[in-house]
Amino acid sequence: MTRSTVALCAALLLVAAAPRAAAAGARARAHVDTAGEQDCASCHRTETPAAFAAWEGSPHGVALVKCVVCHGSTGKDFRARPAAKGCASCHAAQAASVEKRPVSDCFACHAPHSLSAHPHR
Amino acid sequence: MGSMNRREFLKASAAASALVALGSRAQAAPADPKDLTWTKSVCRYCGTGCGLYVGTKDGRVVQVKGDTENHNAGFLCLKGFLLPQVMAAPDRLLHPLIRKGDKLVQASWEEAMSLVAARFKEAIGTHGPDAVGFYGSGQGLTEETYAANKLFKAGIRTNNVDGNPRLCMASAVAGYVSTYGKDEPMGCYEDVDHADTMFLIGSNAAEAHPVIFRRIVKRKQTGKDVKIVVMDPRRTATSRIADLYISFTPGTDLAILNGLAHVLFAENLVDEAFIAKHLAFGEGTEANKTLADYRAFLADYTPEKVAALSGAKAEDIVTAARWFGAKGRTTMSMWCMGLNQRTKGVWANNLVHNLHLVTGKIGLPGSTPFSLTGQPNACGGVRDGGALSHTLPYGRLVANEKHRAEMEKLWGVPAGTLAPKPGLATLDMFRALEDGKLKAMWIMCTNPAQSLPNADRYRKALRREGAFVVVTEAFHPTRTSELADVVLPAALWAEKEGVYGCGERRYQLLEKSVKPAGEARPDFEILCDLARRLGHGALLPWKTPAEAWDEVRAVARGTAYDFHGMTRERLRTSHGLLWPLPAEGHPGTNRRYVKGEDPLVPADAPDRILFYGRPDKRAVVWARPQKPAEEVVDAEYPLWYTTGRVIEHWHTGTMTRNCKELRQANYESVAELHADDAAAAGVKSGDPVRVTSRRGSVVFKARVVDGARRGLVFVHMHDPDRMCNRLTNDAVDPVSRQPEFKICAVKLVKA
Repeated sequence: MTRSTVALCAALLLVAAAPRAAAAGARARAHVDTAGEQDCASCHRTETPAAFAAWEGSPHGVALVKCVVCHGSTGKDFRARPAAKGCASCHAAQAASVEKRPVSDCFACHAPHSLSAHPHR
Repeated sequence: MGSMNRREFLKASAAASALVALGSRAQAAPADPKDLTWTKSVCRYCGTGCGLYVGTKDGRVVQVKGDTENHNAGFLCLKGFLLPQVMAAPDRLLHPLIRKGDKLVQASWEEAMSLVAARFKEAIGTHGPDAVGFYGSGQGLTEETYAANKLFKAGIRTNNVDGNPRLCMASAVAGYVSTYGKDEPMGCYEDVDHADTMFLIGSNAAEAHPVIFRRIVKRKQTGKDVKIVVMDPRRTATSRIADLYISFTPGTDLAILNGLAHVLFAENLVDEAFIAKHLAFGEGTEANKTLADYRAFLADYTPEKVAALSGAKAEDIVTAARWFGAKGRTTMSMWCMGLNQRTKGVWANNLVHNLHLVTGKIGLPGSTPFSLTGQPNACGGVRDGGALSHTLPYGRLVANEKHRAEMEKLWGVPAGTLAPKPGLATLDMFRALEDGKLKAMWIMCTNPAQSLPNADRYRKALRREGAFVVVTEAFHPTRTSELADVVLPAALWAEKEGVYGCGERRYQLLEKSVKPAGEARPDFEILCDLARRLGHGALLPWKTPAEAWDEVRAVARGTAYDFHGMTRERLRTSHGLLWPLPAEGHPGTNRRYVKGEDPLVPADAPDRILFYGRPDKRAVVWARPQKPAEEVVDAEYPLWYTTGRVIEHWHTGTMTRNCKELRQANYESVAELHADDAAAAGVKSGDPVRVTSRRGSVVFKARVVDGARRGLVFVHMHDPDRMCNRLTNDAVDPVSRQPEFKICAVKLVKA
């Protein structure tokens, strides 16, 4: 994988990280070939440092809920912009309460990657 | 894994509340969940034993979701929610295989089982029952392990029955038994929710037990002034939540644990009334010492001396002891393979128990010594079920005449059927295969040709001329099935029914969701078939695992494990039950030895706790001196070598490596190095390095990581192509017979 393709991939992920983009849809974009890489962090620690640091310092990062949980593999199922409906599979009660709120979805309040937690009243 | 200091961690968790949700409950649905049929089950992976539901459609497993009513509160780790992918993996074995020369070729069940029966009969007839052996697994279902144990010990009449729990928790067993007289933890996962101090040693729970770790993190975030101490030579992901992290030279932890006890006495953090009422003191194998003897033994373990030996800081040892013993606070210890996989593993276990005993921090919510377990049914199936070479079901011992007589009666076999001499423990069994004493071996649901230490030696033994090896396995090829003479396709996880017992004495039913793939059969059926062919069909007469379960409950009745109240129906409707649970109306027992909770403690017991496991009703504080690892670094092999897990993979990777999301996540075993060691070898991350021990040599890619300890190389155990166990030491603990996977000496050069 060349540096430029990594950078392109990084740009896509950063776009995906914007709440509005995530809300806009969950259409998967192809991930670059990662054969020979050890894990997501091998590239993303340096290529998308802001997103990586936000995740690593988050509750998801502490509990090692890693990239694949939301983004899928780097194959055909790769989701550059994970849909907020995926949150419900772990946080069903909180996700259900979103429907009663004047917000588009989870990412309206929880910035992707940092996904800070707070009580849903 | 990157590091995060305490300030960053607290910042990250500042907004946390009781509702904070970590972990992963299930993946986004590929189909509308309402279209699926949901069956209650348990995760196939680690000893945490997370409850889940299996979602099926058109006879296929398509999704899982966490069981919100179970201890895991609906959370699964990333491996757990990817489980559906392993069921239809391309390397599922769909039909029996028989070796013809260098090849394994397809055969019918009849052909394969006839051959197996003939070879076992021949070995037994010519060389006696001890010429055969069974090597089982902490991943088999309880009914499967029970069937194998009964067939081999009461039918064939050999005690050559052992299993891979010998590699992972035998030292924890011997630790509990020597200290309390009975095996298994007295506490439960719920203790985490009440713990003021948590003390983790030799455990990377963040990766090896992620859902328990989630609970620890939640307690840290939501409890008041919760302190976490992590002790491990490597600064792992677990240490990210530590208030105090202590690194030390591998093999010096016995000294550190004695140093903690020294400080507890020196600072009067002990509970003298508890000591007087409930404890005995011992050395070697006899509990014939006094408190004064023990204090004299501890005199040598001053924080300064321990620091000089271990490389830890004296003030950190003092702080850890103060937090452990603080009056009015609760303390829970958790440990895993870092203590168990050692030539002094039993002693290390004893020393953790000592800390709880002298402080009286035991048998109270939040105060308990809790060993974490690696496999989903190591406790329930092999450990409790007595399927090791020296044990019989539910706390009975082969060498105990009364216990043998009890089992002979329960099993309806003539007196004298059970052989009085313990059989061969795991490595002894493979060594007997090596030297030709063992002629035929049955391996069920595990992969020893990858997971045994000094693996090349035992790989050769498995292919020794004249040895006959049967492997029942859901996948092929594995590093073991490729060496077998017969490979039988085993049903996997959701394809069969049975009971798993996890690390906290919780027994749970896995219900069948789908038909077995191809011609695969549950191990339970395969073993019943074998029994019929060997003329022991009457011993394994059951039509279903449920019938066997009724016999298992009867065999456990009246023992310290008594779970007679766990009927099949109750297991079906519950979300896990903790033994003892002697009658149907009993709720189960969160804390053993505790009056008012444990049904085996009389209501009129004089105190809150009764250590009924020993004749004097006292737990033993053992004086166990510091001993180094069997193999230490020297001029020729100057680096320490240790092995372990990563979160993405499990055991030998036969399942997790079939998940597409995990194929490019820590798929390959690499040599994790400290930057100074990499520089000394002239390598950078990604460069190939040859790591060599006295037993073997493997080329890994180097990877410089933040948390590495200078002078220590770490490699994970999940890669069949770069097997860390070619290097590990097969020296064993003399009591538990558990090998020292965790420490040996290596040299490393650029390849």
